[in-house]
Amino acid sequence: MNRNEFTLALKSTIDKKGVDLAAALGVAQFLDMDDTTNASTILQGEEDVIVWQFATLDESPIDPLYTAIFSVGAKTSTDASNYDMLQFISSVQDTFKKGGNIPIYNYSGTVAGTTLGGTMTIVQSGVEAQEYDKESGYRFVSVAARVNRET
Amino acid sequence: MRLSQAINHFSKDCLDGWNGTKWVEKIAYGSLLTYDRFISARNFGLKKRIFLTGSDVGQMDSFSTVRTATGEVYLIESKNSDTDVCATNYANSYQLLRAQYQAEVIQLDTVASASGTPTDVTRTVMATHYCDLERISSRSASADVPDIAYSQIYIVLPGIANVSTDSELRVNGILYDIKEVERQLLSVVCYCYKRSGENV
Repeated sequence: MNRNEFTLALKSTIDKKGVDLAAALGVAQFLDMDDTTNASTILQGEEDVIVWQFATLDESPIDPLYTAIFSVGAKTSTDASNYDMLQFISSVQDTFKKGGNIPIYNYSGTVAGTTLGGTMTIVQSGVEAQEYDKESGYRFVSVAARVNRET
Repeated sequence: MRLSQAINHFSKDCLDGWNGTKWVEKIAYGSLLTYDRFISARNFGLKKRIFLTGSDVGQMDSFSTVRTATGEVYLIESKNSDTDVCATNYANSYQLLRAQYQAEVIQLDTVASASGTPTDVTRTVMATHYCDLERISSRSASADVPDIAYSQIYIVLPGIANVSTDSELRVNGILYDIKEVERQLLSVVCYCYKRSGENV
């Protein structure tokens, strides 16, 4: 895969994994928190949401080898005992578990790409402390992955 | 003398009603009362009128936007009915809000990407309504760029307006992102941020 589409393909692959996870959990939305078009409208609602945020993608040591760091988690609102939150987090951890391999394709278009762009191997996956925003709670799984671009 | 006779005696002001495509003439007769006999930093008094009718309200209840004989356009914000000791309605007062602008209600449409997330935003104008627009607070500074600020606005639309936080409004060519929609008695208040920033 060309270098100039690789970052987009990686991002869209994480989107695809997250959308499939949200569907399996029966959660209405999987949201990139950096999405300026949709984020505020969705996050201000009271529905549970699976959320994620892309942090860094560094050549390590040099292209085609990379280290990627991102966070995947959930936002809940009316959640007594916080059990919904922890159920979501358990599922996120299972999807992005340490040692897991995720093939990278470009899902950003209306049709999924069929050319393997690379592979992402999860090397670290840990649950972070819960945060709060008025009536909602947020908790993330911090994920670090080694990524190689298919040349 | 019956109360209703006194009210009807003074019902000489005529209103037209906006049906979405054209003005329907002479939908109701009543008294258009003044409201702005004070001076303050707030301008709501300058924008409001009371329209007092007798028991016969004509077609007032069929319209949300009206126009006076002098061409001023108003939104109907509320209606209060007065009844006498026999519970007979003898008068009705409508609170009107001056609507000096027109707002296009814009729907943001997206296409589902292969990943399942929405992409490729397009804008479609769904409707146009008369509206009132007012800035409710000083400009909100950008979180990252100190030289840029975003205005916070509220826009009042007629009660028939179909808007949500997924919509945008465009007034005089300026786009506003709707953050909150509050449906009041007979009108809709949208709290918005201007899409484009301004230099501080």
